[in-house]
Amino acid sequence: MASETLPLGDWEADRQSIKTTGIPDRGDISGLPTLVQFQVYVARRIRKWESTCNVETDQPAAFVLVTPDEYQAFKKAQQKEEPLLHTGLRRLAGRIHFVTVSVTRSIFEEITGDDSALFARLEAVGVGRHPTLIYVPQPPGSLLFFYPQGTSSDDGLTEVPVGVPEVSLESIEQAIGAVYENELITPDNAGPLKIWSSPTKRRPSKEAERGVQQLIHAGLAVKFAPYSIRKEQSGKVGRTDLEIVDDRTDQAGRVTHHALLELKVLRTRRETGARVGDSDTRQHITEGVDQANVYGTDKNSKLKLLCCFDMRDNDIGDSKTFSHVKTKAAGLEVYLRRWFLYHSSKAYRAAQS
Amino acid sequence: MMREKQSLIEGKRPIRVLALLDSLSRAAISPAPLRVVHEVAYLANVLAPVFDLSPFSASLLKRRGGPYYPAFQDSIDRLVGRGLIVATDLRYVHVQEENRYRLDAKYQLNADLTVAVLERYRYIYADTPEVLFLDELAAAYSTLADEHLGRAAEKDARYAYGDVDVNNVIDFGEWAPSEKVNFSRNAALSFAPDAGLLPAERLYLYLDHLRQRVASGI
Repeated sequence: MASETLPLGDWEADRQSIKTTGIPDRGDISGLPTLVQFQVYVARRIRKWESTCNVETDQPAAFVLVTPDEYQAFKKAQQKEEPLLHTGLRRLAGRIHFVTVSVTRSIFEEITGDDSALFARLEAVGVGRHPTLIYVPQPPGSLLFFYPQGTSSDDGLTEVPVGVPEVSLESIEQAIGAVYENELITPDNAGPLKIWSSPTKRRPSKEAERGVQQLIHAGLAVKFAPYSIRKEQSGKVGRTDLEIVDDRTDQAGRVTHHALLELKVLRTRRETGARVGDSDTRQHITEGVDQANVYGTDKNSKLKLLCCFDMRDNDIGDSKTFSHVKTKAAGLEVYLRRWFLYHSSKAYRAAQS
Repeated sequence: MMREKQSLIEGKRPIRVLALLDSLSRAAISPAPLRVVHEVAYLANVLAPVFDLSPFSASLLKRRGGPYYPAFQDSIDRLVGRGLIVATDLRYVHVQEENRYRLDAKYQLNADLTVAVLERYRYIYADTPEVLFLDELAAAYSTLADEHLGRAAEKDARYAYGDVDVNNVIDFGEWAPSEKVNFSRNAALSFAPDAGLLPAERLYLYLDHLRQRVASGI
């Protein structure tokens, strides 16, 4: 039964508004890691709030990710709760917000003074080691800093874009490069996702492509927080890997397909140990170029990229890897990019020396 | 076969109760009033098909005071008895249609006893959309104003529809096909049909629409 003919019961009179509703600013990153959701949802709250206030006069603010039990403890301690944080219409600046991963409600306390007073207060409350976002409102562009280890330490400190970021080849490369440096470059960095089945035997996992996709998805979600990172969208020509789509910063219904990313893992051998021939790898890359082109053209994407994550034994370089598709890709306006994944930290160090 | 399925559902009910309270707690709703727990249990049933999940139960007696599942409450009571759930603010409330009093309370997990259980649950169900569904549903539900928590179902597309009177059974897929009688599911699937929305986005749109209807009183 097509959606336009489904009976809506008590909401039958709302059929038109249901059909023409805009895209929600939540739900598109469900399943991504907690810290990614935290950063994206806070960035979106700030962006929405800034559209209604004068940031020039505002004080800094902190968003502290707490556990449900800690949230409850703050609530019990008679601190004020803001149940409408999710609307983006409640004051954010000049407050410490204690939030759970949903970032829909907050327990907050008012703060006065400058940044150092804010940092001192976070320590005093005992949340100096909780993942925290520090918001510094200022024209023309406010700043948002993520302290993954809490404000007691600068380890892993990154900036989260608050405004509408430009989507360019360079900014996409930067986002993927950050994921590569932090999570992919050696097996030691991969975290819980299994990219390698047996790094010592140089065998990538059969799920490597899926793992890489999830990590890149998370990286793009933070870098391009106001936009949607759509994965595995079905179309008439097939299923895309990742897409950067702006379907939420403009008026309802207006969609800009910024970029289409086709991801490929290159292997010397499979998880079973069976070798993958050079001709198979070349064919795999050629297919990637074709897919990036067909899907990107179908989606009317401004940029089409083939992103290869090279898990082969030896790093033969970009020009040799892409020599057989270079002309074709240029003609189709598909950008070719490659990141080499070392099977061990030792191999990485050797390559650097 | 039917009996086996029923037995499976009954066996899984305690973990469902804990999972629901866990998701609510992650969405900053804890302790959760009885009405909230039953309302979210109801929404989890009518909206499960949005995530391609089967509802725990696809029918419900329509009550003036909103959704209430006696078997679900029985599980809650047992878990309170075993110390896994803590009940606070206990009081008696009058149930008009049954002309009797019912125990009312707020419920929260006893973290000491449930952390390991819920970690295991999340691990086992990691390959299914169930955990994600309950987390996103609870997060979407937490966007309702405090005064509307536990009182939103009266404006729900299925619960509010006048084809079933109070004290009669609402069928949203138990006997009739879901797409013909589960209006909540249908509404969630009807938002922005060409936008390629994810199931979780549909939950937020559904709860947002419900929030607007409850707030405006229409």
